[in-house]
Amino acid sequence: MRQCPDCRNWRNDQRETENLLHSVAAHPVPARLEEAVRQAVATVDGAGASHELLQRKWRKLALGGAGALVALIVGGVVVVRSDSAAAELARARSNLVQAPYAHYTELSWRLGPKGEWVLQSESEGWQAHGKQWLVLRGGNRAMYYAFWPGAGKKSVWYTPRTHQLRRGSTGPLLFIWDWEHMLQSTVHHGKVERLGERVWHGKKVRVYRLTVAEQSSQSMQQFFVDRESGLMVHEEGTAETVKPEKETLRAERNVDYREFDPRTLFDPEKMARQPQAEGTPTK
Amino acid sequence: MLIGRADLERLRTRDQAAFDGVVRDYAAPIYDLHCWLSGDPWLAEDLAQETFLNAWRGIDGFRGQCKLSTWLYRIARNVAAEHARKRLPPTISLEQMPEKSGDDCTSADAESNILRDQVRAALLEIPQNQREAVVLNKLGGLSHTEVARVLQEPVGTVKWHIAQGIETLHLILRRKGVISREL
Repeated sequence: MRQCPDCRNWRNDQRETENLLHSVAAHPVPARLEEAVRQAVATVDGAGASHELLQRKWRKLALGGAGALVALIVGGVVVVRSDSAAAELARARSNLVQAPYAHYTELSWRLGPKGEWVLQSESEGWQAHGKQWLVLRGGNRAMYYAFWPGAGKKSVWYTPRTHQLRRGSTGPLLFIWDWEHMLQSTVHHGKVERLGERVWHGKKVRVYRLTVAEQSSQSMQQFFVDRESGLMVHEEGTAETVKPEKETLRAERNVDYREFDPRTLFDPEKMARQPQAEGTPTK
Repeated sequence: MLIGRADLERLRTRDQAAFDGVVRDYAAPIYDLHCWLSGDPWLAEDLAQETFLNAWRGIDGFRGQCKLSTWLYRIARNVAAEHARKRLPPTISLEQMPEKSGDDCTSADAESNILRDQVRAALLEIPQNQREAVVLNKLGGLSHTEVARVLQEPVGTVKWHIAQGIETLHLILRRKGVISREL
């Protein structure tokens, strides 16, 4: 309220603001919202799945899927945190370990500023803001891997998740990920299809299907990628999955990622023997 | 209007059709509320979904002693507050492109949209407790008593927050040239 200098009456000069608020149009509701909610509640059981349970499941899936993912990351960038002892050992070895793997692309390992191993593609590097980026974290036996699939086009994603980035990274991290290109260049006879979006445990996810055909078997997997965070939250086999790969995944769930030597991921001899099951970290 | 006993029972037994009806009736106001509170329509979509998901999970706790809308608004406010508390930095994605094309957008629509964006930006500059009260009362159309129930604050406090919020908002809008009239 203020007093009018002319008529001396008290005037409410905020009336216009109130009128404005009353007249301003509501936000148009996205048509997909109702359907998204419907799908979201359909995935929750009647008692309501607890958040903790979902978190645990997510972590388990993330860890279980790590091995498979590692097999797919050729051409990307991998950061694996190691503890101080392993880092010291690694420093003693070399600051830059060349691990050329001509079968796929040229890769190199180097030590990051925090003692982490960094696998970096020579052609599409960290600073160059190339097409394929990926961060794979190993800490407290949990792995966080973040990628943002582009479905044939470039996608840029600034991840704000400090819990993913608090070590070995400063500031927001830029992910540029050409998911299809990466997979196509990695698998021998595979293809990647984007199946669309759906809601999975309340998260809006993009669904991709990876089909890998080998001589005697065929593997089909679906990847659910959280639209918001870019994290892969779920993967599932939808057809005949190569059994040895499954076995390897189960075995790798208890791996202490702080200790393994990342160079073993891409042992050329091992990969030559078992081209589809390579890349799983070992102690 | 309070929800009927039969409807409440249907919701409590998690009748999907009944809940679909709730979503249909309240998706617009809940989404709008989140837009105003968060200032981000894209984020509001997720928060609205989270609101209904929480409602679905917590329907057993709803006794039907207040309006269903009040209960939903309270959940929405908690979801928004929780998100604000985490203080996550904004995320930027190239895919967050506006869905509505300009083809069917008249100049009146465009002006209306611009005004809405200006108000939304101004709202973000006022304190959260004032913003909540102003949004619920002036934009959501809730009475002072209903706002007090949603925010679980005394009616007098709510009125104070609204008055303070409007005063601050008025100054901001005038500073930005949205309101130019001087008395």
